Amino acid sequence: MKYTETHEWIEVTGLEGIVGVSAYAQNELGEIVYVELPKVGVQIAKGQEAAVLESTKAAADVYAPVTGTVTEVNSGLNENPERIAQAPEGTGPEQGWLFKLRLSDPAQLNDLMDAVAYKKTVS
Amino acid sequence: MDFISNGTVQIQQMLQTLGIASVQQLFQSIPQQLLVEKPLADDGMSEYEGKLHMQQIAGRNRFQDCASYLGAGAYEHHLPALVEAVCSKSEFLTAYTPYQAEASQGMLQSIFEFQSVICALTGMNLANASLYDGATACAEALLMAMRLCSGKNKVLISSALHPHYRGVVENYLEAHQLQIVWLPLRANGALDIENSLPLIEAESAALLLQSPNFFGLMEECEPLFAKAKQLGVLSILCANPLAYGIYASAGELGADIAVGDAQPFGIPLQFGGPYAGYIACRASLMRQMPGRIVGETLDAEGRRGYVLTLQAREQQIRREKATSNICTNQALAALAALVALLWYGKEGVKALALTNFQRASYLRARLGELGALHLDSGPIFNEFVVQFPADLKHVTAHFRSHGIEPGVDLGRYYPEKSGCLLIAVTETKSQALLDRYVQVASKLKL
Repeated sequence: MKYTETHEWIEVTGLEGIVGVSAYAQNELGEIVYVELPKVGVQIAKGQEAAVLESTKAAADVYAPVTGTVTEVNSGLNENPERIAQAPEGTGPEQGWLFKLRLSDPAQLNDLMDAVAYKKTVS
Repeated sequence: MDFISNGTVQIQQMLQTLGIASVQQLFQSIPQQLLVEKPLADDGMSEYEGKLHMQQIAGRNRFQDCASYLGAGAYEHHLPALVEAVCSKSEFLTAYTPYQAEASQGMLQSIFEFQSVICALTGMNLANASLYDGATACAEALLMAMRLCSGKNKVLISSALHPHYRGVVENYLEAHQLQIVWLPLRANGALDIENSLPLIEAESAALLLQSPNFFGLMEECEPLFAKAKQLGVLSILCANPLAYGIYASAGELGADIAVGDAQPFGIPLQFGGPYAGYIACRASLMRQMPGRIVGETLDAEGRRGYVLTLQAREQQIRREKATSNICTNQALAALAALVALLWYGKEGVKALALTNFQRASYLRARLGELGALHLDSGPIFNEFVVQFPADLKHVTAHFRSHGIEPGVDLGRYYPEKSGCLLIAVTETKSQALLDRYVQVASKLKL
C-alpha cells in the first residue's frame, strides 16, 4: 500500500489500483455522513479531485494518487458511509475503499510513500 | 479590540508606511470642483421641514386612486393585517439567517416552517430557507442541475419564461461553458410542445419551464417532463405559488426542482423587491441544494430544536466549491409569505386561488364579448393577454384618464406582441371594478 502527502492510499495489483483515505485522515475529518464518488469510466489525472467526503462540519476533497481511469466505485458507501470509519484502509466488499483505477502510468507510483514514510509525516 | 478608532500614533504610523504626509493626500485625485466646502453655508432642511417635503413628493403618487392591472411577475394582493403585526416584531427584524444561528430558535423555527409550506405547495421533499427572488431561484436551479449532471453542457429553457428571469439566468450562466436552447412558442404564447420534444436530448442537463408562463398561460408540462426523465434530464418548474392552490403541483407534474417567487403571499409590491425566491427539490437532489437549510432535531435533553443543517455544502466550509456563493436568503420576506399562507390555511389558499382564476376569467370573457379585441385561447390562472387594434399609447392614455392602469405592454419584451397588454386580475378586483374596466374598454375609439 502506497500513500500520498494528501492522505490517500492506493493498493495496486497488476495495472489496477484500489484507492481510499488513510486512517489518520478519516480520524481527523470526524464522522463521515456522505460520500460523493467519481463516475465509472472517467479519466482522472494525478492530483485531480476524484471524490468528496462530507462530515457534519467539513467537506474534504480526495485526490487521485496517480493518473488513471475509474473502473469501479464502492457504491455501498452511498448507504453506509460509516464503513470508512470502520475500515478506512480496507479493500474488502464492505470496507472503506472509495474507487478502483486502471493506471495510465505505473511509474507514478514511485513518487508515493510507503507506510513507514507516511506514518512519519503524520506523527 | 475591533471597532476602536485609530489614535494619532496609529495614523502617523500608517502615513509613514504609505510614505505620505497627511490623510488628505489620499483624496487629492478628487477634482476640486466636486468638493463641498466646509462649513456648509446652507445646512439643509430641519427634520420637520424634510418630512413635509417628502410628504409633498409622496402626495403626487396617484397609485392609490388607480385600479392597477399590472402583474407580470409581481401581483397586488390583499395583505392580511397579521403579516405586518408578526413581521414588525423586533425579534424578526433582520433579513438574514442569524449568525450564531442556533441561539435564535424562534427565527430558525420560522424558516423551518417556511420550508415546510413551500414543500406542501410544490409537492417536493425539501426546500431551502429562500433565495433572493424568482429570477435567481431559476438560475440557482439550473446551476444545481449542472452540478448533478456534470459533463453535460446544455440547458433547455422556455421562451415564455419571464424576460427578467431570462436576463438573470443568462447572466448567471455566462461564466459557465453552457449552451442555452430556447424552446419555441405557439402564436398564442404557449410552449410549442411538438417542436420542443425533439430538442430534449440526453446531453441536456436541465429543462426549465414556467407555468403559468409569462403570458399567463398554463403549460402542458407533463409530456416534456416525462421525456426529460427518460433521458436523465432534470425538470425544473418555475411557478406563481398561488397557482398551486387550484392546479397540479410541481411534484405531481413530474418536476425534479420547483422554483419561483413567494411575492404573491403577503409581500407588498415595492419596485421589484425585496421579494423572496423559493426553491424545493426531490430528496435525492438534496446535497446540491444551494443556500441555507434549517433542520429539526432533538437537543441533549430530548427537546425539539432547530439547527442549520447540511452546512458542509456552503461557502463558509466549501469555499469556491460551495453549492452557491450567495447564501443570503430573504428571511423577513419569507416570514411574511409564511404568515400569509398560515393565515389563509390549506382551504383558504385554494379559495384565494379560485377567486383569482374566476375574476381573471370573468374579465377575459367580458372583454371577448366586445368583439373588437383579440384574445388568445388557452388555460390561464390570473393573467391573460389582450391584443388591441390600436396604438397602445392611445389605449393606455384612455384607461389612465379613467383611473385604470390597464396592463403591461408586451411589445417591450416581445416585439411580435406589440399592441398586446398582459392583464393581471387578483382578488383585489371586485366585479364592479371589472365591469368598469369593460365599460372603459368599450368606449375606446378603435
